[in-house]
Amino acid sequence: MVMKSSDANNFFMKIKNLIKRSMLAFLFIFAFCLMLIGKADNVIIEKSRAFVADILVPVFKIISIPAETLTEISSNIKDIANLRKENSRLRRENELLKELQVYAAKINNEKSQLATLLNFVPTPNASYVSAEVLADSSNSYAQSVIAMAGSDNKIKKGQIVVNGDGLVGRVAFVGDKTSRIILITDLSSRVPISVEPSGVKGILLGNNTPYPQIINLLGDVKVNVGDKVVTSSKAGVYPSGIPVGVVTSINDNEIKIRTFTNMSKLDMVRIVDYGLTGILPEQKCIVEKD
Amino acid sequence: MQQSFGKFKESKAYNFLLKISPIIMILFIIFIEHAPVYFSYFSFIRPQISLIVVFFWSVYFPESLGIFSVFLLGLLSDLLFNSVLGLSAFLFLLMYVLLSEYKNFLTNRSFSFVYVIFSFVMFCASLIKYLIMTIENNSLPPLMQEVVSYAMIMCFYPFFVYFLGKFNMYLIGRSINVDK
Repeated sequence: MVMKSSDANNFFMKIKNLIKRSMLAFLFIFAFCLMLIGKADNVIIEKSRAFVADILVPVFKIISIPAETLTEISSNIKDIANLRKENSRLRRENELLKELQVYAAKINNEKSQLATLLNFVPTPNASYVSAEVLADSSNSYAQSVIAMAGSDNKIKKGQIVVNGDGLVGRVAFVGDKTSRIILITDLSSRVPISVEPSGVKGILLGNNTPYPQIINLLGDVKVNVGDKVVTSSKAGVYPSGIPVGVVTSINDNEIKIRTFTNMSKLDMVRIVDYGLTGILPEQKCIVEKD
Repeated sequence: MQQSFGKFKESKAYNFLLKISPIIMILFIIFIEHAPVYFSYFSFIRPQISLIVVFFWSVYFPESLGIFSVFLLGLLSDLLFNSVLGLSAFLFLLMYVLLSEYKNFLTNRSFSFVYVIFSFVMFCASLIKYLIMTIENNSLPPLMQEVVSYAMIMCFYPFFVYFLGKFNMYLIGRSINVDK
Protein backbone atom coordinates (compact mmCIF):
# COMPACT_ATOMS: atom_id res chain seq x y z
CA MET A 1 0.00 0.00 0.00
CA VAL A 2 2.90 2.26 0.88
CA MET A 3 4.57 1.43 -2.41
CA LYS A 4 1.39 2.25 -4.26
CA SER A 5 1.13 5.60 -2.53
CA SER A 6 4.72 6.53 -3.41
CA ASP A 7 4.13 5.39 -6.98
CA ALA A 8 1.11 7.66 -7.16
CA ASN A 9 3.16 10.49 -5.73
CA ASN A 10 5.88 9.90 -8.28
CA PHE A 11 3.29 9.79 -11.04
CA PHE A 12 1.76 13.10 -9.93
CA MET A 13 5.22 14.65 -9.61
CA LYS A 14 6.02 13.53 -13.15
CA ILE A 15 2.72 14.96 -14.42
CA LYS A 16 3.39 18.22 -12.55
CA ASN A 17 6.90 18.46 -14.03
CA LEU A 18 5.57 17.69 -17.48
CA ILE A 19 2.92 20.43 -17.19
CA LYS A 20 5.55 22.89 -15.89
CA ARG A 21 7.90 22.08 -18.75
CA SER A 22 5.09 22.34 -21.31
CA MET A 23 4.07 25.72 -19.91
CA LEU A 24 7.66 26.85 -20.07
CA ALA A 25 7.99 25.72 -23.68
CA PHE A 26 4.69 27.45 -24.46
CA LEU A 27 5.88 30.74 -22.92
CA PHE A 28 9.16 30.63 -24.85
CA ILE A 29 7.30 29.95 -28.09
CA PHE A 30 4.80 32.68 -27.22
CA ALA A 31 7.65 35.17 -26.66
CA PHE A 32 9.05 34.30 -30.10
CA CYS A 33 5.58 34.61 -31.65
CA LEU A 34 5.23 38.07 -30.09
CA MET A 35 8.54 39.10 -31.64
CA LEU A 36 7.28 37.91 -35.04
CA ILE A 37 3.87 39.55 -34.60
CA GLY A 38 5.62 42.82 -33.73
CA LYS A 39 7.52 42.60 -37.01
CA ALA A 40 4.45 41.75 -39.09
CA ASP A 41 1.55 43.64 -37.52
CA ASN A 42 2.40 46.74 -35.58
CA VAL A 43 -1.19 47.90 -35.00
CA ILE A 44 -2.04 45.42 -32.22
CA ILE A 45 1.28 46.11 -30.52
CA GLU A 46 0.80 49.88 -30.79
CA LYS A 47 -2.67 49.63 -29.29
CA SER A 48 -1.36 47.48 -26.43
CA ARG A 49 1.47 49.94 -25.74
CA ALA A 50 -0.93 52.89 -25.77
CA PHE A 51 -3.35 51.03 -23.48
CA VAL A 52 -0.61 50.20 -20.94
CA ALA A 53 0.77 53.74 -21.03
CA ASP A 54 -2.74 55.15 -20.44
CA ILE A 55 -3.29 52.90 -17.43
CA LEU A 56 0.08 53.77 -15.93
CA VAL A 57 -0.28 57.56 -16.08
CA PRO A 58 -0.58 57.95 -12.25
CA VAL A 59 2.49 55.73 -11.73
CA PHE A 60 4.55 57.73 -14.23
CA LYS A 61 3.46 60.96 -12.56
CA ILE A 62 4.71 59.71 -9.20
CA ILE A 63 8.03 58.37 -10.49
CA SER A 64 8.81 61.60 -12.33
CA ILE A 65 8.47 63.69 -9.14
CA PRO A 66 11.99 63.04 -7.71
CA ALA A 67 13.71 63.75 -11.02
CA GLU A 68 11.66 66.91 -11.56
CA THR A 69 12.36 68.13 -8.03
CA LEU A 70 16.10 67.56 -8.41
CA THR A 71 16.13 69.34 -11.76
CA GLU A 72 14.15 72.24 -10.32
CA ILE A 73 16.54 72.60 -7.37
CA SER A 74 19.63 72.52 -9.58
CA SER A 75 18.13 74.97 -12.07
CA ASN A 76 17.13 77.30 -9.21
CA ILE A 77 20.70 77.29 -7.89
CA LYS A 78 22.01 77.99 -11.40
CA ASP A 79 19.45 80.77 -11.89
CA ILE A 80 20.38 82.52 -8.66
CA ALA A 81 24.08 82.29 -9.52
CA ASN A 82 23.53 83.76 -12.97
CA LEU A 83 20.91 86.35 -12.04
CA ARG A 84 22.96 89.48 -12.76
CA LYS A 85 24.39 88.13 -16.01
CA GLU A 86 20.99 86.90 -17.11
CA ASN A 87 19.40 90.26 -16.37
CA SER A 88 21.82 92.20 -18.54
CA ARG A 89 21.53 89.60 -21.31
CA LEU A 90 17.74 89.88 -21.23
CA ARG A 91 17.92 93.68 -21.40
CA ARG A 92 20.09 93.45 -24.53
CA GLU A 93 17.81 90.79 -25.99
CA ASN A 94 14.75 92.90 -25.26
CA GLU A 95 16.18 95.85 -27.14
CA LEU A 96 17.04 93.62 -30.08
CA LEU A 97 13.56 92.08 -30.06
CA LYS A 98 11.94 95.50 -30.10
CA GLU A 99 13.92 96.35 -33.23
CA LEU A 100 13.04 93.00 -34.77
CA GLN A 101 9.36 93.47 -33.95
CA VAL A 102 9.23 96.65 -36.01
CA TYR A 103 11.10 94.90 -38.82
CA ALA A 104 8.79 91.84 -38.66
CA ALA A 105 5.67 94.01 -38.80
CA LYS A 106 7.06 95.73 -41.86
CA ILE A 107 7.85 92.39 -43.57
CA ASN A 108 4.46 90.97 -42.65
CA ASN A 109 2.78 93.94 -44.20
CA GLU A 110 4.83 93.53 -47.38
CA LYS A 111 4.09 89.80 -47.45
CA SER A 112 0.33 90.26 -47.23
CA GLN A 113 0.47 92.91 -49.98
CA LEU A 114 2.45 90.55 -52.24
CA ALA A 115 0.15 87.62 -51.41
CA THR A 116 -2.86 89.70 -52.48
CA LEU A 117 -1.10 90.61 -55.70
CA LEU A 118 -0.27 86.96 -56.49
CA ASN A 119 -3.61 85.43 -55.36
CA PHE A 120 -1.55 83.27 -52.98
CA VAL A 121 -3.44 80.60 -51.01
CA PRO A 122 -2.02 80.76 -47.47
CA THR A 123 -1.12 77.59 -45.53
CA PRO A 124 -3.50 76.90 -42.65
CA ASN A 125 -2.39 78.05 -39.22
CA ALA A 126 -0.85 75.33 -37.08
CA SER A 127 -2.59 74.33 -33.88
CA TYR A 128 -0.64 72.89 -30.99
CA VAL A 129 -0.91 71.19 -27.63
CA SER A 130 1.79 71.58 -24.97
CA ALA A 131 2.40 68.39 -23.03
CA GLU A 132 4.53 67.22 -20.14
CA VAL A 133 6.96 64.36 -20.75
CA LEU A 134 5.79 61.64 -18.39
CA ALA A 135 8.24 58.85 -19.04
CA ASP A 136 11.46 58.41 -20.92
CA SER A 137 11.61 55.04 -22.67
CA SER A 138 14.90 55.71 -24.40
CA ASN A 139 17.81 53.32 -24.22
CA SER A 140 20.60 52.21 -26.53
CA TYR A 141 18.12 50.47 -28.87
CA ALA A 142 15.16 52.84 -29.11
CA GLN A 143 14.58 56.52 -28.54
CA SER A 144 11.10 57.50 -27.47
CA VAL A 145 9.26 59.36 -24.73
CA ILE A 146 5.69 59.27 -23.47
CA ALA A 147 3.88 62.62 -23.37
CA MET A 148 0.86 63.46 -21.26
CA ALA A 149 -1.51 64.22 -24.15
CA GLY A 150 -3.53 61.80 -26.21
CA SER A 151 -6.56 61.47 -28.42
CA ASP A 152 -8.60 63.23 -25.71
CA ASN A 153 -6.50 66.31 -26.57
CA LYS A 154 -6.98 65.73 -30.33
CA ILE A 155 -3.47 64.39 -30.78
CA LYS A 156 -3.10 62.30 -33.92
CA LYS A 157 -0.47 59.90 -35.13
CA GLY A 158 2.17 61.60 -37.25
CA GLN A 159 1.93 65.05 -35.70
CA ILE A 160 5.19 66.89 -35.26
CA VAL A 161 6.76 67.44 -31.86
CA VAL A 162 8.97 70.42 -31.10
CA ASN A 163 10.25 72.26 -28.07
CA GLY A 164 11.88 75.64 -27.50
CA ASP A 165 15.13 74.47 -29.09
CA GLY A 166 13.87 72.76 -32.21
CA LEU A 167 12.53 69.51 -33.63
CA VAL A 168 12.02 66.66 -31.17
CA GLY A 169 10.29 63.96 -33.19
CA ARG A 170 6.93 62.69 -34.29
CA VAL A 171 3.93 61.10 -32.61
CA ALA A 172 4.19 57.36 -33.22
CA PHE A 173 1.03 56.20 -31.53
CA VAL A 174 -1.71 57.70 -29.48
CA GLY A 175 -3.66 56.50 -26.47
CA ASP A 176 -6.56 58.29 -24.83
CA LYS A 177 -4.42 60.20 -22.36
CA THR A 178 -0.86 59.64 -23.58
CA SER A 179 1.09 59.52 -26.79
CA ARG A 180 4.43 58.01 -27.61
CA ILE A 181 6.88 60.26 -29.41
CA ILE A 182 9.59 58.72 -31.54
CA LEU A 183 12.61 61.01 -31.28
CA ILE A 184 14.62 62.08 -34.32
CA THR A 185 17.61 60.22 -32.84
CA ASP A 186 15.73 56.89 -33.01
CA LEU A 187 17.07 54.28 -35.40
CA SER A 188 13.78 54.23 -37.32
CA SER A 189 13.54 58.01 -37.70
CA ARG A 190 13.90 59.61 -41.15
CA VAL A 191 13.49 63.36 -41.49
CA PRO A 192 13.70 65.28 -44.78
CA ILE A 193 16.09 68.14 -44.11
CA SER A 194 17.71 71.08 -45.75
CA VAL A 195 21.24 72.23 -44.95
CA GLU A 196 21.53 75.99 -44.66
CA PRO A 197 22.84 78.26 -46.17
CA SER A 198 23.34 76.11 -49.30
CA GLY A 199 19.76 74.82 -49.18
CA VAL A 200 20.85 71.31 -50.20
CA LYS A 201 18.23 68.67 -49.41
CA GLY A 202 18.83 65.34 -47.72
CA ILE A 203 17.54 62.86 -45.19
CA LEU A 204 18.40 62.87 -41.52
CA LEU A 205 18.84 59.32 -40.34
CA GLY A 206 18.49 58.52 -36.63
CA ASN A 207 21.12 56.12 -35.30
CA ASN A 208 20.33 55.93 -31.55
CA THR A 209 23.23 58.24 -30.81
CA PRO A 210 23.13 61.97 -29.98
CA TYR A 211 24.62 62.55 -33.45
CA PRO A 212 22.19 61.57 -36.25
CA GLN A 213 23.56 61.22 -39.74
CA ILE A 214 22.69 62.99 -42.98
CA ILE A 215 22.29 60.75 -46.02
CA ASN A 216 21.10 61.08 -49.62
CA LEU A 217 22.23 64.66 -50.09
CA LEU A 218 20.87 65.92 -53.38
CA GLY A 219 23.28 67.73 -55.64
CA ASP A 220 26.98 68.30 -55.45
CA VAL A 221 27.00 71.06 -52.87
CA LYS A 222 29.67 71.33 -50.20
CA VAL A 223 28.47 71.03 -46.62
CA ASN A 224 30.60 72.56 -43.89
CA VAL A 225 30.94 71.98 -40.17
CA GLY A 226 28.74 74.54 -38.42
CA ASP A 227 26.05 74.60 -41.13
CA LYS A 228 22.56 74.76 -39.76
CA VAL A 229 20.11 71.94 -40.50
CA VAL A 230 16.36 72.61 -40.75
CA THR A 231 13.40 70.50 -41.84
CA SER A 232 12.37 70.39 -45.45
CA SER A 233 8.78 70.20 -46.66
CA LYS A 234 9.69 67.48 -49.21
CA ALA A 235 7.26 64.53 -48.97
CA GLY A 236 4.79 66.72 -47.10
CA VAL A 237 5.52 65.21 -43.73
CA TYR A 238 7.26 68.18 -42.08
CA PRO A 239 6.85 71.89 -42.70
CA SER A 240 10.01 73.61 -43.83
CA GLY A 241 12.28 75.57 -41.55
CA ILE A 242 12.00 73.87 -38.15
CA PRO A 243 15.50 73.99 -36.60
CA VAL A 244 16.97 70.50 -36.25
CA GLY A 245 20.67 70.83 -35.48
CA VAL A 246 24.11 71.85 -36.59
CA VAL A 247 26.68 69.89 -38.62
CA THR A 248 29.44 68.74 -36.27
CA SER A 249 31.57 66.34 -38.30
CA ILE A 250 32.19 65.34 -41.91
CA ASN A 251 34.22 62.16 -42.41
CA ASP A 252 34.34 60.24 -45.69
CA ASN A 253 30.88 61.34 -46.82
CA GLU A 254 29.51 60.65 -43.34
CA ILE A 255 27.92 63.86 -42.15
CA LYS A 256 26.83 63.97 -38.54
CA ILE A 257 24.88 66.65 -36.74
CA ARG A 258 24.24 67.58 -33.13
CA THR A 259 20.56 68.18 -32.48
CA PHE A 260 19.55 71.53 -31.00
CA THR A 261 17.25 69.69 -28.62
CA ASN A 262 18.87 67.80 -25.80
CA MET A 263 16.92 64.54 -26.00
CA SER A 264 17.96 63.52 -22.48
CA LYS A 265 16.45 66.65 -20.96
CA LEU A 266 12.95 66.74 -22.38
CA ASP A 267 10.43 67.92 -19.84
CA MET A 268 7.84 69.79 -21.91
CA VAL A 269 7.07 69.39 -25.59
CA ARG A 270 4.73 71.00 -28.05
CA ILE A 271 2.75 68.69 -30.34
CA VAL A 272 1.91 70.62 -33.47
CA ASP A 273 -0.74 69.90 -36.08
CA TYR A 274 0.40 71.54 -39.30
CA GLY A 275 -2.45 69.90 -41.20
CA LEU A 276 0.09 68.20 -43.44
CA THR A 277 -0.75 65.13 -45.49
CA GLY A 278 2.34 63.18 -46.56
CA ILE A 279 3.11 59.55 -45.83
CA LEU A 280 1.36 59.01 -42.53
CA PRO A 281 -2.35 59.44 -43.42
CA GLU A 282 -2.07 56.43 -45.76
CA GLN A 283 -0.91 54.30 -42.81
CA LYS A 284 -3.79 55.69 -40.82
CA CYS A 285 -6.21 54.52 -43.52
CA ILE A 286 -4.84 50.99 -43.14
CA VAL A 287 -5.36 51.20 -39.40
CA GLU A 288 -8.93 52.35 -39.85
CA LYS A 289 -9.70 49.57 -42.33
CA ASP A 290 -8.46 47.03 -39.77
CA MET B 1 -0.21 53.22 15.87
CA GLN B 2 2.79 51.06 16.73
CA GLN B 3 0.50 48.39 18.15
CA SER B 4 -1.65 48.24 15.02
CA PHE B 5 1.50 48.02 12.87
CA GLY B 6 2.74 45.22 15.15
CA LYS B 7 -0.55 43.39 14.62
CA PHE B 8 -0.31 43.95 10.86
CA LYS B 9 3.21 42.48 10.90
CA GLU B 10 1.79 39.29 12.35
CA SER B 11 -1.09 39.12 9.87
CA LYS B 12 -1.39 36.85 6.84
CA ALA B 13 -1.63 39.87 4.55
CA TYR B 14 1.83 41.03 5.65
CA ASN B 15 3.27 37.57 5.06
CA PHE B 16 1.67 37.50 1.63
CA LEU B 17 3.13 40.93 0.85
CA LEU B 18 6.55 39.68 1.88
CA LYS B 19 6.14 36.61 -0.29
CA ILE B 20 5.34 38.64 -3.39
CA SER B 21 7.77 41.44 -2.51
CA PRO B 22 10.33 40.31 -5.16
CA ILE B 23 7.64 40.67 -7.85
CA ILE B 24 6.69 44.11 -6.50
CA MET B 25 10.36 45.08 -6.46
CA ILE B 26 10.89 44.09 -10.10
CA LEU B 27 7.71 45.96 -11.05
CA PHE B 28 8.89 49.02 -9.17
CA ILE B 29 12.30 48.90 -10.85
CA ILE B 30 10.66 48.59 -14.29
CA PHE B 31 8.73 51.79 -13.55
CA ILE B 32 11.82 53.53 -12.17
CA GLU B 33 13.66 52.70 -15.39
CA HIS B 34 11.22 54.99 -17.19
CA ALA B 35 11.63 57.97 -14.91
CA PRO B 36 13.05 60.97 -16.74
CA VAL B 37 16.61 61.48 -15.49
CA TYR B 38 17.62 64.70 -17.29
CA PHE B 39 21.33 63.77 -17.42
CA SER B 40 22.86 64.54 -20.79
CA TYR B 41 23.32 61.41 -22.92
CA PHE B 42 21.84 59.15 -20.21
CA SER B 43 18.88 58.27 -22.41
CA PHE B 44 21.31 56.77 -24.95
CA ILE B 45 22.95 54.41 -22.45
CA ARG B 46 20.11 53.70 -20.00
CA PRO B 47 20.83 50.26 -18.50
CA GLN B 48 18.09 47.68 -17.93
CA ILE B 49 18.36 47.59 -14.14
CA SER B 50 15.44 45.16 -13.81
CA LEU B 51 17.78 42.42 -15.09
CA ILE B 52 19.82 42.78 -11.86
CA VAL B 53 16.75 42.29 -9.69
CA VAL B 54 15.48 39.35 -11.76
CA PHE B 55 18.95 37.77 -11.49
CA PHE B 56 19.09 38.25 -7.72
CA TRP B 57 15.65 36.83 -6.93
CA SER B 58 16.07 33.98 -9.44
CA VAL B 59 19.14 32.88 -7.52
CA TYR B 60 18.13 33.60 -3.91
CA PHE B 61 14.34 33.28 -3.78
CA PRO B 62 13.03 31.80 -7.06
CA GLU B 63 9.94 30.36 -5.32
CA SER B 64 8.57 33.89 -4.99
CA LEU B 65 8.62 34.59 -8.71
CA GLY B 66 7.21 31.80 -10.89
CA ILE B 67 7.41 31.54 -14.66
CA PHE B 68 4.18 33.39 -15.41
CA SER B 69 4.95 36.43 -13.27
CA VAL B 70 8.48 36.63 -14.71
CA PHE B 71 7.08 36.42 -18.23
CA LEU B 72 4.43 39.07 -17.56
CA LEU B 73 6.98 41.42 -15.97
CA GLY B 74 9.17 41.06 -19.06
CA LEU B 75 6.19 41.73 -21.28
CA LEU B 76 5.35 44.88 -19.32
CA SER B 77 8.94 46.06 -19.68
CA ASP B 78 8.72 45.50 -23.45
CA LEU B 79 5.44 47.37 -23.69
CA LEU B 80 6.83 50.35 -21.83
CA PHE B 81 10.17 50.51 -23.62
CA ASN B 82 9.63 50.87 -27.31
CA SER B 83 11.64 47.71 -27.95
CA VAL B 84 10.75 44.39 -29.56
CA LEU B 85 7.72 42.94 -27.79
CA GLY B 86 8.63 39.60 -26.23
CA LEU B 87 12.37 40.26 -25.99
CA SER B 88 12.55 41.14 -22.28
CA ALA B 89 9.91 38.49 -21.54
CA PHE B 90 12.17 35.95 -23.24
CA LEU B 91 15.29 37.18 -21.42
CA PHE B 92 13.63 37.32 -17.99
CA LEU B 93 12.22 33.83 -18.45
CA LEU B 94 15.50 32.39 -19.72
CA MET B 95 17.40 33.91 -16.79
CA TYR B 96 14.84 32.71 -14.29
CA VAL B 97 14.74 29.14 -15.59
CA LEU B 98 18.51 28.71 -15.84
CA LEU B 99 19.37 30.43 -12.56
CA SER B 100 16.67 28.78 -10.47
CA GLU B 101 17.86 25.44 -11.88
CA TYR B 102 21.38 26.17 -10.57
CA LYS B 103 20.16 27.75 -7.35
CA ASN B 104 21.92 25.22 -5.11
CA PHE B 105 25.16 25.73 -7.00
CA LEU B 106 25.02 29.54 -6.67
CA THR B 107 23.72 30.17 -3.16
CA ASN B 108 26.23 30.20 -0.28
CA ARG B 109 28.99 31.11 -2.73
CA SER B 110 31.25 34.13 -2.34
CA PHE B 111 30.18 37.49 -3.74
CA SER B 112 33.03 37.48 -6.28
CA PHE B 113 32.01 34.08 -7.61
CA VAL B 114 28.37 35.15 -8.11
CA TYR B 115 29.59 38.45 -9.58
CA VAL B 116 31.53 36.56 -12.26
CA ILE B 117 28.47 34.44 -13.05
CA PHE B 118 26.37 37.64 -13.13
CA SER B 119 28.79 39.29 -15.57
CA PHE B 120 28.58 36.25 -17.84
CA VAL B 121 24.77 36.14 -17.67
CA MET B 122 24.52 39.87 -18.41
CA PHE B 123 26.97 39.50 -21.29
CA CYS B 124 24.79 36.76 -22.80
CA ALA B 125 21.63 38.85 -22.23
CA SER B 126 23.24 41.88 -23.91
CA LEU B 127 24.41 39.72 -26.81
CA ILE B 128 20.93 38.24 -27.34
CA LYS B 129 19.38 41.72 -27.17
CA TYR B 130 21.95 43.08 -29.61
CA LEU B 131 21.40 40.26 -32.10
CA ILE B 132 17.60 40.47 -31.96
CA MET B 133 17.67 44.26 -32.31
CA THR B 134 20.03 43.91 -35.29
CA ILE B 135 17.56 41.53 -36.96
CA GLU B 136 14.63 43.81 -36.04
CA ASN B 137 16.22 46.98 -37.43
CA ASN B 138 18.13 45.36 -40.31
CA SER B 139 21.14 47.37 -39.19
CA LEU B 140 23.72 47.25 -36.42
CA PRO B 141 22.74 49.30 -33.34
CA PRO B 142 25.60 51.36 -31.83
CA LEU B 143 27.83 48.84 -30.05
CA MET B 144 29.64 51.33 -27.83
CA GLN B 145 26.43 52.39 -26.09
CA GLU B 146 25.54 48.79 -25.32
CA VAL B 147 29.03 48.29 -23.87
CA VAL B 148 28.61 51.37 -21.64
CA SER B 149 25.16 50.16 -20.62
CA TYR B 150 26.63 46.75 -19.72
CA ALA B 151 29.41 48.43 -17.72
CA MET B 152 26.81 50.47 -15.83
CA ILE B 153 24.85 47.33 -14.93
CA MET B 154 28.09 45.77 -13.65
CA CYS B 155 28.74 48.87 -11.51
CA PHE B 156 25.20 48.97 -10.12
CA TYR B 157 25.14 45.28 -9.20
CA PRO B 158 27.05 45.51 -5.86
CA PHE B 159 24.77 48.33 -4.61
CA PHE B 160 21.64 46.42 -5.50
CA VAL B 161 22.98 43.20 -4.00
CA TYR B 162 23.77 45.01 -0.75
CA PHE B 163 20.18 46.21 -0.26
CA LEU B 164 18.47 43.19 -1.78
CA GLY B 165 20.69 40.91 0.32
CA LYS B 166 19.64 42.75 3.50
CA PHE B 167 16.01 42.34 2.52
CA ASN B 168 16.54 38.70 1.66
CA MET B 169 18.06 38.12 5.13
CA TYR B 170 14.97 39.73 6.63
CA LEU B 171 12.78 37.41 4.57
CA ILE B 172 14.78 34.38 5.69
CA GLY B 173 14.58 35.48 9.34
CA ARG B 174 10.88 36.10 8.94
CA SER B 175 10.22 32.66 7.44
CA ILE B 176 12.16 31.05 10.36
CA ASN B 177 9.92 32.91 12.83
CA VAL B 178 6.82 31.90 10.92
CA ASP B 179 7.95 28.26 10.87
CA LYS B 180 8.49 28.34 14.63
